[in-house]
Amino acid sequence: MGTDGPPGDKKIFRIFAIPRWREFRETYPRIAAFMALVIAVLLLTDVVLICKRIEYGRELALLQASMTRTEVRRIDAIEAAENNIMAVTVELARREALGDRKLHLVVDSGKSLMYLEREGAVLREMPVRLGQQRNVGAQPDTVCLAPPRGKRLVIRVVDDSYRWEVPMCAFDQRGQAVPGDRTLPGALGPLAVILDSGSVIYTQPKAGPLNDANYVLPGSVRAEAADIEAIKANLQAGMAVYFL
Amino acid sequence: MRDYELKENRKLTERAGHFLRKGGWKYIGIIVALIAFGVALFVNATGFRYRRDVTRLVLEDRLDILDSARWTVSVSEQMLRETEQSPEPPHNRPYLVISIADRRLWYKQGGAVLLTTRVATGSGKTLVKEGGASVWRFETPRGRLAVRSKEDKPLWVPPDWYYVEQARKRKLGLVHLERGQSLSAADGSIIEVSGTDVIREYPDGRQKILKASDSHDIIVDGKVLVPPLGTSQRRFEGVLGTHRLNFGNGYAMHGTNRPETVGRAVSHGCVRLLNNDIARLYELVQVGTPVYIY
Repeated sequence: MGTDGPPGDKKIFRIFAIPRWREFRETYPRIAAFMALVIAVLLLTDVVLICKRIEYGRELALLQASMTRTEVRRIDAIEAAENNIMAVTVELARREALGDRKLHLVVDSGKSLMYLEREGAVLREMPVRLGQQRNVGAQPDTVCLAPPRGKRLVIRVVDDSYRWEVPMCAFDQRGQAVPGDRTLPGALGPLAVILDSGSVIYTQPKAGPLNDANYVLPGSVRAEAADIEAIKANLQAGMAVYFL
Repeated sequence: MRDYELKENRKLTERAGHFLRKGGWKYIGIIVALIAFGVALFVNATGFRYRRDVTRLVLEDRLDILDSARWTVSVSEQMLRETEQSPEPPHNRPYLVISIADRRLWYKQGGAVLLTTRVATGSGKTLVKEGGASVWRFETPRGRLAVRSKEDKPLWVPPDWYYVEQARKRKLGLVHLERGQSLSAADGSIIEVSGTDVIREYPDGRQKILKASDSHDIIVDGKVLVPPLGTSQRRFEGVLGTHRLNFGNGYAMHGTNRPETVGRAVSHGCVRLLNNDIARLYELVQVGTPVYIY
């Protein structure tokens, strides 16, 4: 019959037939013992390696988790330290303002109020709006415009004839086309104060990108024109402004 | 020799075939598989051990950084505590604030407003005496002043500018009378100082004490007479209201006999209040209280 195949094939097939261990052991007792020993040693080695692998994996996972916790704690610590240093700066500024014998301004960002003060006496309380911190510009030239903290100085008091270069972000944020010349007269309103940090305390202008009751230039302060007008005679270059 | 080699080869081949037929291939396969698996495990475990060691080193570095950050936190907390515990400058004493723009006064202590009222402040006008000998600017001074003294029923001693102003209003000239000096009038009478009064002495020897007030000036031959300081003709009652709080340098806060002017920029530099308000402030405000005018 064709199913029997050639005799050579049967021989090869017999080689790969699965004999029993007893038969093999009886035929090759020494080799069988040696092979059994080798298999046992290899199995044991593999088990040990598996255990080590699991142990290393666990240790690695623990270390990575610990590293993540450490990183979180480090970030928390840095943030806490920065907050403390900021609180110290604000507290020092508050105390310096209380003892300042010269006329000065105090901007309380928490209360959205600006005070005209001298020797801790509040001469005038003025509601203000602070422009929130914002990153402006395209990478890598991003600039963070944040309200100042601590003590600043007035470098100039200007009226509506002053030509001020309006930051590009003011046009962008208000969805206006950026003109070729951003230096606009009266851009800071009827009266404004320019600080040494570059921030401004301004009033709402009649025109220009800052003429929006709902918009405050990031990092700056917008006051009511009537308030600035009432204290105008007292504002001068070199006057201290404390940001709390 | 060749036959022998062939015979030996055949023998070996037969032995190997026999070994394989008896199951040797299977056990060799198991051994090879176990070796391969072991090698793979070894490589894998070694890789994990290396990563563990590197991670441990990085963790140690990060723990050092964390220690440094914690030290910064503790230092900053200590700074904050020390800053908060240090004594604040005194700022709870009462004080007066006057806004020239708003023409309003506040009496405050701490964050509380104890009293607030309308005031009249300097007109900002300028008065120049003929010839430019004197120039007066009627402005309330900005800055820090203090209550130096308090007066009940104050008398007003009109400064020279008052007479210049009156003469200009009436389109009259001005004549000064000094102590020890006498002025001869056209009617033959003589104007001079006798004691604390300015008197007119007629040719028949009669003497008349002249009267002066903020609504009545002494006119001599078409000129407004400026009485010397210290005479009763240069002390007006009621002009300053019921009370006065002096700031020094001729400036003060006082009442008025013209209440309709309060709330306007009409004064000659003083701060003018309604008599009721100045009376209350007279009671409340202590000498030495700072006055901030802006």
